[in-house]
Amino acid sequence: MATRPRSHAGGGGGQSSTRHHQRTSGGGEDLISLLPDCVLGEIVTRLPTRDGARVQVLSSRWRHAWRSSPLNLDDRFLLRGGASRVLLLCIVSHALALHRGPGRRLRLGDVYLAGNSAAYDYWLRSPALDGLRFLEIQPGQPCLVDPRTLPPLPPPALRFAPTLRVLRIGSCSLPSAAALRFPHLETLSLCGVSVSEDALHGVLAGCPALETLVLDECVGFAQVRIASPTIRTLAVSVAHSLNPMPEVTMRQVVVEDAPRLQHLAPFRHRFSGESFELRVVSAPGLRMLGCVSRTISRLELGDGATTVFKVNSCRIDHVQQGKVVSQETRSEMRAVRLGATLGTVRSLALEDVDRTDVVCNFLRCFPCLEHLYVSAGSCPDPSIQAKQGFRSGGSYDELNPIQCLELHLRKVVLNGYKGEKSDVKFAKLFVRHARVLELMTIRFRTKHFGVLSKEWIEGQQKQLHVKDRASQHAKFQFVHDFGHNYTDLPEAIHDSSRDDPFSSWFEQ
Amino acid sequence: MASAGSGDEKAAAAAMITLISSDNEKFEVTEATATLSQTIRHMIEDGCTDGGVPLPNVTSKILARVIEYCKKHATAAAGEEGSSSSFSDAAFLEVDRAFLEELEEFDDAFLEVDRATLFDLILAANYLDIKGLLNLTCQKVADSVKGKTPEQIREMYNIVNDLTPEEEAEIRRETQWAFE
Repeated sequence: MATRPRSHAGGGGGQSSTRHHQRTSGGGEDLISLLPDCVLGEIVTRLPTRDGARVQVLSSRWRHAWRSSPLNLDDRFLLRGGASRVLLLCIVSHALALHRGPGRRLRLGDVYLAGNSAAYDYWLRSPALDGLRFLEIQPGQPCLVDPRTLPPLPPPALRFAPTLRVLRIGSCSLPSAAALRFPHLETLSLCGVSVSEDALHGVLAGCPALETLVLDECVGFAQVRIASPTIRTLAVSVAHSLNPMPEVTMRQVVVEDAPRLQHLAPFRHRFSGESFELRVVSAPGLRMLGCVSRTISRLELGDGATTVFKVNSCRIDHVQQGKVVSQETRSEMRAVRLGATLGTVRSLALEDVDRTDVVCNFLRCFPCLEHLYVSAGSCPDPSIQAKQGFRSGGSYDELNPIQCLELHLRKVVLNGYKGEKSDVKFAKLFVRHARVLELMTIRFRTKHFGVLSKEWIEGQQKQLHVKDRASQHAKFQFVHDFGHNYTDLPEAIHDSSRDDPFSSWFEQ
Repeated sequence: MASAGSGDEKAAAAAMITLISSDNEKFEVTEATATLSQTIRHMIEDGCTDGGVPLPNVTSKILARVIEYCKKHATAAAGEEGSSSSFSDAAFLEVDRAFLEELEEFDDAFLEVDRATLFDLILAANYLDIKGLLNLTCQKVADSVKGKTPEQIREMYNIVNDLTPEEEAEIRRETQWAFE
């Protein structure tokens, strides 16, 4: 095909593209070298930094392909095993000095500001980064707990605001003044960032195209209000329990008006301490909610006649052979008012919700639910951990059937199942009443690696009365549960263009 | 899907565009499909599409594939735009999700072509300025190069190394960190 390449600004046209129209002895034509410069640049800029720089050596046609294609500088792909950090700094400086720009992407995840701030500033000012679209930096070290010691975001980072599509900032403090405008920003992720309430809302107001917002262990504000016509994914987690600034801990997240919001993911880390309130006033397109855990002290859904779930602490008696062998205080989430229902939600993840009646309340609140993930309470205290599992508190009111159990719930995943009587009773809710169930995955929590024995599975199936299941075509799967990494949730959501990020996250 | 697309189809029926390939084959497409190409969008805006749009750089074989891509993605774009008004409609959301998955599968299948066709698609996407198609195809090529040594890349794409040993050594010295 004799396509005449179109010149792109800065691309230098395609004049040189026919220079090396050669055939090798192998017979194949060198089609790739015939591509116009701007297209070659589009390919090279999609390569990891080292791969991109290596193509210079392919032939004279490729000699300048790396330098003239938008720079993609990622410090994960600069070193090959075991090389020193000093060398990393040298390579970053070198790459920025060699490259002509513009920039496409900069990620500095392993280079910190401390002891290096002059170079850091200098890098960010480099013309090789002009027009940057993806910026991912972490000026401070993530292990620092005291947000008062976080370094400020280097000011030159903000010069990219007009062109950025994705901005991920970790471990630093954001300036409180300055009306920032990010006209094209689609993803904003703040992790371990200190930012005042006014500054945060100022940034959000300056992002008219924002689709994904992640606020992970951030401090400096008490309330976040989301009113955005474009936002689709919101993920929030509360700061570390060792946060020494309780006066500026996130207390409330309010989704005031988010017509396009699909994924709402409050998530927690292993040591998330403080809890916060989550209010969803208007999110008419919400498809996925979770993980709802005791990190959320109050969950309020709807406007007007709301549905409210609240965390209460309760005493639990552990009984063996009719005798109370031990007691435990657990906080658990219960419905205190059932009003609004959210008929758009298809996928729900619950944690620390392990009573039949409480789960039923959630199911009533989401009448069109298709996928449900429930984790038995997980408590960081190892002495209690041993007694975990589902409890059979409350029961299903068969006179008052639940719509999603009758019509929609196709998939159920139970995490932390232990095979005790109470676990069986809890699981039977779905065996007996989920009429269109297709798959139920029961994840058995055990420290013993190895295959679940056939006898054990058969025993469980018998106890669960699998033969008498409400949905005859439902399949039951028993697998090991080795626990999951809480921090992966925003990533799973981010990577997932599919509808249900929980499936990859919960079932890893 | 019918509910999401019907209004759009009615509107588009009024505005059909004729595209003419290099080998003189004519393709009738809706304006919504055609304007995924920025090049054609500009021509429409300038009012120079009467009597068809000649595309002397694109063969009928490639144009047919490009139109296939644009049709699929134009429907997706129409769904996106319509969504704000009908977001509370559960049936619509169902369509929306299924469609996204379908679109992803479509793209994967679309890229299952021989190398010559892939490069022709890249050139056509560049000429017609279809951003999504250019991204998709360039990513496919980048993925094939990733992690390979220069020798492997040359062999894979029949690239003849016309650099002198001195030139090559100089490049390797200049960006030593890329070759270690």
